[in-house]
Amino acid sequence: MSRKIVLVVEPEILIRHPLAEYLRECGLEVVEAANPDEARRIIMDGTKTVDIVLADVKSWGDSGFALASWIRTNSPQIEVALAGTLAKTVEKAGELCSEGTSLFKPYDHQLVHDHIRRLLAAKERRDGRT
Amino acid sequence: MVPRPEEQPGLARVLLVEDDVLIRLLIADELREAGLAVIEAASADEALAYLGAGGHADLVFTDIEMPGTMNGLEMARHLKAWTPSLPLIFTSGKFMPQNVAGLGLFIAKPYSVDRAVQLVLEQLGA
Repeated sequence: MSRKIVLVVEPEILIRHPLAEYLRECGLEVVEAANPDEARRIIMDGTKTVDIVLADVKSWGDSGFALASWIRTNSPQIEVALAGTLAKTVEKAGELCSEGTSLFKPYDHQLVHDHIRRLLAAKERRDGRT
Repeated sequence: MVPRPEEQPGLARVLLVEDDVLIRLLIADELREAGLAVIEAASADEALAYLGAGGHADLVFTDIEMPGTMNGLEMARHLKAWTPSLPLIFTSGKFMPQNVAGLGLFIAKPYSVDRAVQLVLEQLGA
């Protein structure tokens, strides 16, 4: 069975790299993007079939909200998890995510992994029905 | 300090600095396939932020032309001041090998991914 692919979109290398490495150690394939534009290029390129996008709600030059909306329109099969630091933005992020929940920053790596596992399980159930 | 849950004993660590995400993704994949740990930086600023925070690299593979406050050559001069023995490999579609003289090795773009990985492994003595 192929490994699930998570696209981590985070402008801060000191946050992105440790999180990406943690998720790799958990057995996921992780693709890293420093901003939403890079994330769009990876998704449109199609070399990697991304299962989940984990994005900061406030990324450079564009917001994670805009990225989530773009994914909903262009690649609805991809799950999105948004993360933020403020309760209000996190609540808004949850409205854009299929599972209706989102993540707080700073990231708790274990919680992020648990969240991704839940999203993947929901995706598999949904894909199995279609 | 950089949080280090990612420390993998025994794996040489390559700091890959490349602003084209699709090239970065491809090279990072191949370097990991070759058994190396890879830190991906999208700019020289990110690379210096990583190293400045205590992150470790055994080799830096960097593009020269990049957005941000400095290009790969300027970054290399900082790195050489910090760690003179750190191996550096440069790549560019515009600059020439003589531009990196005394700083490190050079591989011209477009390059073969296999050749790039081989060069990294040779430099690491792997």
